[in-house]
Amino acid sequence: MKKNVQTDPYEIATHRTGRAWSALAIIIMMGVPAAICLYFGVYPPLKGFLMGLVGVVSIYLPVAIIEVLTYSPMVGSAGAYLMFVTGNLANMKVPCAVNAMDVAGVKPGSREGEIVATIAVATSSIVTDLIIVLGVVGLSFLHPVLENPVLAPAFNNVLPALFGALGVVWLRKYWKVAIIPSIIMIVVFIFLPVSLLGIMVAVAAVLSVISARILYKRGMI
Amino acid sequence: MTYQQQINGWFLYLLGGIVALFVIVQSTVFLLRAWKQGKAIGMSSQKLWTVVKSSAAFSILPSIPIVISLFSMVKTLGVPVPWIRLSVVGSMSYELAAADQASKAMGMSGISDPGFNLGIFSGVVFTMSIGIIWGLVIALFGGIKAVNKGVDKLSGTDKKWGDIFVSSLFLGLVAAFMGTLISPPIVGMLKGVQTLSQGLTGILVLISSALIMMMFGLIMKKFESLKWLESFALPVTMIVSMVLAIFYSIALGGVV
Repeated sequence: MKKNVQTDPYEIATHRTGRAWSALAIIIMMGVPAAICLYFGVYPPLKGFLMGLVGVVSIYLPVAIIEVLTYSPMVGSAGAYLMFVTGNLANMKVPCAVNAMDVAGVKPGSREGEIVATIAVATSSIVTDLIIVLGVVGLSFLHPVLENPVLAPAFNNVLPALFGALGVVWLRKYWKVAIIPSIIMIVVFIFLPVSLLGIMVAVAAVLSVISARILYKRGMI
Repeated sequence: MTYQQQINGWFLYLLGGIVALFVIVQSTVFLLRAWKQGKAIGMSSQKLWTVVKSSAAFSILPSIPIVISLFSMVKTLGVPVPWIRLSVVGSMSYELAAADQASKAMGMSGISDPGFNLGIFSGVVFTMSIGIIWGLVIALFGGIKAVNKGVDKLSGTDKKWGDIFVSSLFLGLVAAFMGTLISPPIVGMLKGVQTLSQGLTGILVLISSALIMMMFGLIMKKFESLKWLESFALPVTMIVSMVLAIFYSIALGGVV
């Protein structure tokens, strides 16, 4: 069933809860460096710090705007609030939610899709958190195993393994939609560095929606 | 106390524990809330469990490179700070890039510079935290609400278009990743800055993974009794493809 984001009580409550948790997360995140400065009684060299900060923010503020615009509709509201706290969006949370919706046989953007995506993002966040804790606890043991040069190609290729498999599932459904954005992106990245991926995702998403709209209007999908 | 002892001290581990706990508590609250709502709109517990199992199985492999990126930051930032940073917003590529840029602006040669001190360390942690906070700030000021309201209006009452619209956003993400996975390695090989193994392994893995996933689809279509495999199709495909990556790399003359 399609949800109505204006009147659905669950959706309204989600925004209230989500914003409250976002506020808490900001306090905790900023609390960490503040606590470090206060505890050790040290402060960063102001000029260099501000220069570095401006450099980082000027890249990641536009990326954040793009991420909210493109990923929020894919995972629904509750999933999005949680995802923006736990991070690793494009390489983990979004594919996880999309795969879960596919496995559960529900449509993104529906009420069921919203539930499934939230559960997927939450489960994924807990699992990653626990694995990082394992990594921290077993550092001395795991370090040589995971950084073994024989295994390096496996861990260097998690993204091709992920996007090949998940991509084919969705390409089979709407391959016509993907043709133009895929060709353009393959050409674009001949000339642009991979570091611009965060920005180019938005360009690809817009191209994809336009191409979907044209095909839909013509009755081709 | 040396710099290393300070950045690996109990206080920072305590902060790490608080952050990790926060993420787990929030995730649990959201999970239970969605579960309750799912039951209320008539979804079966069995279906919801399938979502939990498939998401948990899926998340294991992509988490491993996150642990590896933690190792690469340990030398100059200690264990607790990379742990904290990788637990909340951000991603491995972001944390490394932000830490590198911040340390260079403060006069270091990068995150491996032996001249790191606590002042620079605090600046790096501040930059990594502020640099990535914007998604949360936008969420706090109603960004997610506005976007999802807008999308709802755009898709209107046409259910089919609503589905295609959201799916096409995801296809955009897939297209952008395909671009980064296919073009740069080929360009790198042609320019001679990447070896055959570095350039081709990823592309072969991409193709293999797509083929294996398609095979899974065919098998499940043919044998109804194997339908339960569906929740694990993606993680299993990924494992097989990653093992193949090792073989491709060796076959193409990569470092062993």
